[in-house]
Amino acid sequence: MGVIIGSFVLAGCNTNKEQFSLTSKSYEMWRDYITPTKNESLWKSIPWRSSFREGLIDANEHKKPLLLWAMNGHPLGCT
Amino acid sequence: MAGRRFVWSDPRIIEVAEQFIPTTDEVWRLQRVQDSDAIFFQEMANKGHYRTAGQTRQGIYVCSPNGKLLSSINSLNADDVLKSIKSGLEKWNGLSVSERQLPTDQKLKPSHRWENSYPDQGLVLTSANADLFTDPPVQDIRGDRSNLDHVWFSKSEARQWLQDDPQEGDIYELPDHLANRLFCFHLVDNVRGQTLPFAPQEIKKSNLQIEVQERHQSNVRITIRGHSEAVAKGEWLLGQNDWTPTYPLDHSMKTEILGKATFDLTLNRFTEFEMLAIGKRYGKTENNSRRNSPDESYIGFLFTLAEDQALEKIAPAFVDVYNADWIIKPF
Repeated sequence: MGVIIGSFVLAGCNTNKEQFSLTSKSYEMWRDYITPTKNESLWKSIPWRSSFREGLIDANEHKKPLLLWAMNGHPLGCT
Repeated sequence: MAGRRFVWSDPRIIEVAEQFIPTTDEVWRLQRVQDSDAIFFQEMANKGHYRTAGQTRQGIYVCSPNGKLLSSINSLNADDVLKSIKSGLEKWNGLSVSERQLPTDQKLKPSHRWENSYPDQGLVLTSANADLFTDPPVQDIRGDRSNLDHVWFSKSEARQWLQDDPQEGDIYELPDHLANRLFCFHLVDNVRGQTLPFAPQEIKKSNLQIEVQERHQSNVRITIRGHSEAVAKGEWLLGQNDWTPTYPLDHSMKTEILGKATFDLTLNRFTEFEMLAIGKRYGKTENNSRRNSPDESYIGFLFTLAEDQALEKIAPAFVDVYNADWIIKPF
């Protein structure tokens, strides 16, 4: 993810404090919370192949068994 | 999604996965179509934990490249999954060389995959979302589910985020078809599982405004600001497709959106992009696991540039109903 340098000022934002409102002031707070934590991203440390076909070809080449995780909705996307 | 958290984040499973070729795929296509890779999967998975014809084949399988099933399970219990994986590994160790090999005449070419439409030169975003419980949020109070998706814009659509000759101070609306892609297909309640898209007619209020903050050499820095309100009530408006629900469930999403991005006019692509939305959801859909959730609650969405790696080239969940004529459909 690229790091965006520079100011982020939005004119006309609502200054009234409402619950769960998104303003230039609350932006970083919400972003930091929504960003998946290290623990929530551990599953990405597994070197997943992204299709059954690719997995079979690599398993054959590397002489290893295939470990397949198949779901409604791709497990590497929205599932 | 629960499996990522409860199974695939377990250090024992991450470790044992090193002895395999770990693979993922979308099961809906694999269990239904007659492509050679799908038939190969069906012959293997039909001997697994779900054997009834027509039943889902979701799960975790250990198999040999020659298609021999070694073990299978569908569980969110890491202990049970580990036991199943190890049992498959034991059987693998007992296989002959020929049983371990992909048959040389085995064809595996799928006739269609949505990933073939990946917009290589376009704007590809990863969206991460999470339930929001308190304001301000408390890091230790997090839901047991979160989800992700990918957002696709073609090269030409990515350029349409800017005007022809962008100048500092320009303020304009993002074209409707691009904004609607976000409102209909990506600002949806999929934190706990797959949900339904909104039809364009269900976007009751929307606004997505771009302001050019700076143009320096070839870099154009913009801010994004907007809101939306989508309401699905009663009849399903998106026709007959894989998403058509069996019964109507009222649901809605109201969002506020802020973001910032940089477009390089020489490279003709975004080099930075970050957009946040806070949504207030109401109701539920058939499969989004909101049975035990309150009627309404808050969700956060974070959109960032996807990395150029296979993991981030998976098609958007609603790619089959996307409002984009450049998406290649199945024959």
